[in-house]
Amino acid sequence: MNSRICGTGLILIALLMLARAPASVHGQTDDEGDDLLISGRMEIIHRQNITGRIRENSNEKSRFYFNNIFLNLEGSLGEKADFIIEYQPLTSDLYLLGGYLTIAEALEGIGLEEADERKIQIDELISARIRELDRASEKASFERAQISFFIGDRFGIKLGRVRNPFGFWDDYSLFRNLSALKTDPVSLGVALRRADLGFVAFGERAGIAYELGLLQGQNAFTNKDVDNFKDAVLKLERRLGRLDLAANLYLHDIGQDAEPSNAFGLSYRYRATYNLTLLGEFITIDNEDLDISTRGFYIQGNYDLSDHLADGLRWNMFFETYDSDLLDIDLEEGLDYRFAGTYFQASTGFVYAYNRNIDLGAKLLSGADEEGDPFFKLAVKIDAKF
Amino acid sequence: MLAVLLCLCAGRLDALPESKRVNSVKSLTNILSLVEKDNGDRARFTTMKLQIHLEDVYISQGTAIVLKPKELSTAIGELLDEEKSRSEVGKIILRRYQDGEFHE
Repeated sequence: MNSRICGTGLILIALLMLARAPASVHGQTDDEGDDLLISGRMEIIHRQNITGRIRENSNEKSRFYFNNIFLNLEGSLGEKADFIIEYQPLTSDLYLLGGYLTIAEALEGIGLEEADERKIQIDELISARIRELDRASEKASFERAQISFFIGDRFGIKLGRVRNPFGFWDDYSLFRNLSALKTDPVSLGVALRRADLGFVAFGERAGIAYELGLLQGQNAFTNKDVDNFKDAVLKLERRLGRLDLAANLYLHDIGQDAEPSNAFGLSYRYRATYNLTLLGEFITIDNEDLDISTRGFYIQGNYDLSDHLADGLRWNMFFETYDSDLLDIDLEEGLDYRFAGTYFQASTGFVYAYNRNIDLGAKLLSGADEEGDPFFKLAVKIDAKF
Repeated sequence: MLAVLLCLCAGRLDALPESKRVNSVKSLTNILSLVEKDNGDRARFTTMKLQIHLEDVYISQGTAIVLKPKELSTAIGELLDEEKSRSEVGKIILRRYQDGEFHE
């Protein structure tokens, strides 16, 4: 751990020097070239499963842990460029698994049962992904490490480890967007995660904001690229009064002979009142190679309670449902359940801003898995930004 | 090490820019703190409601925003000059933001 902290310190100093260098080389004195921010963030969580274990491969029903630690550096590189580096010296396996729940978690260990060829195939894929996630949780990594160039008023390019523009993401905390559908590492052939190596062009034309990216589309955690196939992602967004509406497309491994696996989504953000914002996504994923289709949606609500109860207090809710061929694979024979193969999860909780930099939160999550078995989970957290 | 980093960054707070692209929680917090400082101690915490809203709904969902800090600071100054309380100012600027002001 000490060597990791020392390494982190050295990386930060190096980044700081790199960040200062362009300004001195070009002698820029503009305001934009002068701001440089160093920041950090850590989230500490206590999670309690009321039913079931936290992971298939352990007996623990509760855990007190660091979900994430981030050390960030960001600033301008002259008038028309900026950068952001988010370094993660520590991240938890549960964070990488999607926080609370993923399809992978639901199917972890299916090959241990009496298995047919299909089950064994999927189990091998899932096991490989989970091993990858577990290894990634033991290594320092970067969330984002990107340089943005602004070319003209309405066009720019981001390079490096960039945010995947498909729909919405939750930055850092497991208390907001808990979508298990989107973080499934198997359905699409690659995990649709928050960030990947590549570039994204962004801008606005005729009132439509767009982001078009070419991403590595492989292992989302190690930045290794072992084939020539890239992934393409496109987001088109239009603001219609209080509604932001976007269409999202993701094509996995373009350029190969076979039809690429793909994800299509519609996302929306609706400011219903001054206190209430709703957002969500409808997503469909088709993987021709594995013969897997997944469809579902989630809706998320944030309600600001500061007018009614206390300054800084917010209530949030999340509901997601999806059905997937991946879930059908593991269904018990002869199961008499109306929604067999469909997953439901709902959560509700409160987040309180103790001050500008500290959030306290509590959340309850419940739902039913693909066979109708209910689950209940609780969590409390402290989220500090410094 | 931290002291060295802080020294290197000291004295870097300049006048408010006309517009500022924000794509992280820290840059949001930083620019809103500068907006408050621009109006002195009487403006403390007037942007906190706006910060929470922007963080929950935009920044944390991966959406960058372009703020207009000078415009925001001027509006806060005018509201405080009208002897509105800090709490009222916080609510008013949040509503005005949602109605399309202070951002591109």
